[in-house]
Amino acid sequence: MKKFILRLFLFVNLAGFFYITSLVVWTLSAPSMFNPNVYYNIGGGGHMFSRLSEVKNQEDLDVLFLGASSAYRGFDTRIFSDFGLRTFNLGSSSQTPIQTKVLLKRYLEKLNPKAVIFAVNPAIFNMDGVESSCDIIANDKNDLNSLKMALRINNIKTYNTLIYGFTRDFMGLNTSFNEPVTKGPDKYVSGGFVETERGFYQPTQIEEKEISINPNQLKSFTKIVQMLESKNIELILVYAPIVKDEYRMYNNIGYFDSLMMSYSKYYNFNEIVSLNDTLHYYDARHLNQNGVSLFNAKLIEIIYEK
Amino acid sequence: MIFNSVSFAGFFLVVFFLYYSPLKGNTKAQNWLLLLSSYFFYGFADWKMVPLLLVATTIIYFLGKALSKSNSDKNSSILTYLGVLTGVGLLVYFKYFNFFIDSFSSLFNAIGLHSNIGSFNIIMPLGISFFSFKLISYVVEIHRGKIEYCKDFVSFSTYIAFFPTILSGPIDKPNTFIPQLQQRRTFDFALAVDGCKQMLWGLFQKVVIADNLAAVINDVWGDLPGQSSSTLFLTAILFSIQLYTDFSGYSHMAIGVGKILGIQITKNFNYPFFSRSIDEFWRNWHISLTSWLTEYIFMPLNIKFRNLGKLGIILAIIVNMVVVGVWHGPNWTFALFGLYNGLLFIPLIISDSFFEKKKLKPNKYGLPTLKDLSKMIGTFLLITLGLILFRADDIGQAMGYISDIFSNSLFTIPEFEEKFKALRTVVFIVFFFAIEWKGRLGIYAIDEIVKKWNNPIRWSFYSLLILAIGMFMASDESPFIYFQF
Repeated sequence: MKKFILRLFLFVNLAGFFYITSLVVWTLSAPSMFNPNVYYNIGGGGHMFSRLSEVKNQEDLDVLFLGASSAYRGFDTRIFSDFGLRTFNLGSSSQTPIQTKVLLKRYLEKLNPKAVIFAVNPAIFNMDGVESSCDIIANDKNDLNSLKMALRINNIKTYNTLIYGFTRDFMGLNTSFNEPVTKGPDKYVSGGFVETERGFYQPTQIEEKEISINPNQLKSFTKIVQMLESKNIELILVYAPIVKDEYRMYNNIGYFDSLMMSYSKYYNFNEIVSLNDTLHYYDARHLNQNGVSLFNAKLIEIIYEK
Repeated sequence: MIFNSVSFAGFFLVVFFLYYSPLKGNTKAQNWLLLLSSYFFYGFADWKMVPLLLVATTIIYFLGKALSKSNSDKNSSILTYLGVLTGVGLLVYFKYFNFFIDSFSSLFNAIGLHSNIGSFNIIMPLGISFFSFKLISYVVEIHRGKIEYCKDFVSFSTYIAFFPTILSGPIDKPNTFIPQLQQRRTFDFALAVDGCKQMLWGLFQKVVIADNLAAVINDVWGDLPGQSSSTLFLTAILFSIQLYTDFSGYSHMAIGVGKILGIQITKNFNYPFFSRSIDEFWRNWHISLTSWLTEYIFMPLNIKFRNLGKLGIILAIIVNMVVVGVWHGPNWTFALFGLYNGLLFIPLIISDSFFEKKKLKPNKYGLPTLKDLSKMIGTFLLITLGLILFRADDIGQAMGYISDIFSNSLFTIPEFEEKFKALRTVVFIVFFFAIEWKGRLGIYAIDEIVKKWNNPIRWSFYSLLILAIGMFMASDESPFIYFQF
């Protein structure tokens, strides 16, 4: 058996070396459609590269915003700044609690916020988190937390992207990268917010949905709550408004509300503000700038003015 | 916990080290470990069904014991019937009971008699089609005097519940499997390396070909109206390949795991898509099931109908094939799939070419001759047509699918939602069949090929397979198709 283990060890090392080398060379040279299992999109949608570059210079915030696109497209840091609050938006595309935890481990100490506003919705608890993990791997410097995140997600795409990401970091291939401020209809605003000029929501057919919670995501979410509690940081959970048809499609929203309330202070803005589906949204899940202004004003009123 | 998962890798590593390190050479302790780990594995998939497995195993164990001690033919027959009834009863109750109720209910409704009988809430235990066949064959083999009853309950229970095979086979016979458990097992380097290679080849088939095809095929089947004939035709072909690579991939991995533990498991596939006739195909496809049914259904029926000549053979084969079909599940589509395949045997029986075994001789370039190739393609297309029934939800859908294939749009370019994924997978399919053809004389394809290579080339080839798996495997874990049976 000793011979077998030794041979296996030798083979695993050689095959591992071959795998990593081939993966990196292949990904560097072949178009992305030939790389279905590497999703390295530096400066992709959502301006994560700009956000993560900027966050490194931030500290001592009043409010830190977290969550998926409903966060970075929903909390306009300029509006909060007008109100006298120093904020930063650390949302990212399809961010799930697994990625939120990684970002907090990296930046919470330095950002030292008084409060965290976390944009929650049923979808982020149901996703596998592959897309968002690859987004963070591609747009930030990788460390042990990236590896832990990949192990938690346990998907070949995340593993491959991480291998490639580590190699790029090691070779310094991203040092000269610059992300444009405006990409199509999206404009990055200092503070992490992304303003969009996508117009107005056109109603589409939406299917009924059952809320189901991925235990892995809930585990990470619980850890986030504990992490913030241990640092005496106030956590405010916010379900940002979505169009009424989309919201009504969840047949057990009460379950989600009660789950969130069991963790921390929770506001479901679908029940609080009444926005117009065509005037205040650009798609079923995202507010346009008119909607953002109304939503943020109401949020400030509820949380800070009362 | 499927073979291609991290949890299985962790589980197997623990079993492996316990098996060969502290328990090395201690056959009894190794069998205990195999039994406990098999029950853990089964319980991990469906813990509620563990008592059922244990009770069924215990009943058959004691029936086997009583059978071996019985000294009258009458008693022996009664005990055998009881054993068969237990196995069949398990299948009928858990797998087919609701189907019978629904079918009778529909029949009564159709003739104007309204029945109020509703379906029962019966959960089908995983792997029941596989372990119940093992239970049956054990009693029948004792009755036929081919094996002695297994005195050791642990060995017998391990045979029934052996974790690599309990969920999807292969269905081992007791006379080949149980004796292995009673032999001293020490680590066999060559066998373990062979097992690793076979697992790797199985994994490649499953995750690179079958799982990628699954996404392409499910898109089409999920939205059948409006699909062009050419798309339907190509999807049917791809489904045959998906089913083969999924199930043969599983079987290779199961056999590989067995080899690492020093246990030889029955071969399940023998390059079925290189078959030149239907009978040759069924000799090479899901071998452990077809040989089981040949022995316990076809042969007895053939003997019973021998006075009817060729008609007797036809009847026996049709019954046998319908059972093959129905074994897959409680749906008329499977029964029709079996009947269709049974009917395909008729020309072979009438022309006396049934049972004929002709060796496949390649031409001077090492490729199949045109005659053989055309026969292979013909057989493949006939099987593919039948597999539409296998894949469809009901007969109406299958018939609609088949009739939609034969329209003008058969000569258009097929349309797939994930075109590039389909194209990429086709490249791997070509590679796969090239390897299968080249290695068709081996137990599994790459074994025959790498034999001639030296270590560096062999290791480079394995590394390439691993690279292909990592770079092109479907990123969503999907269960094996045969888990549902």
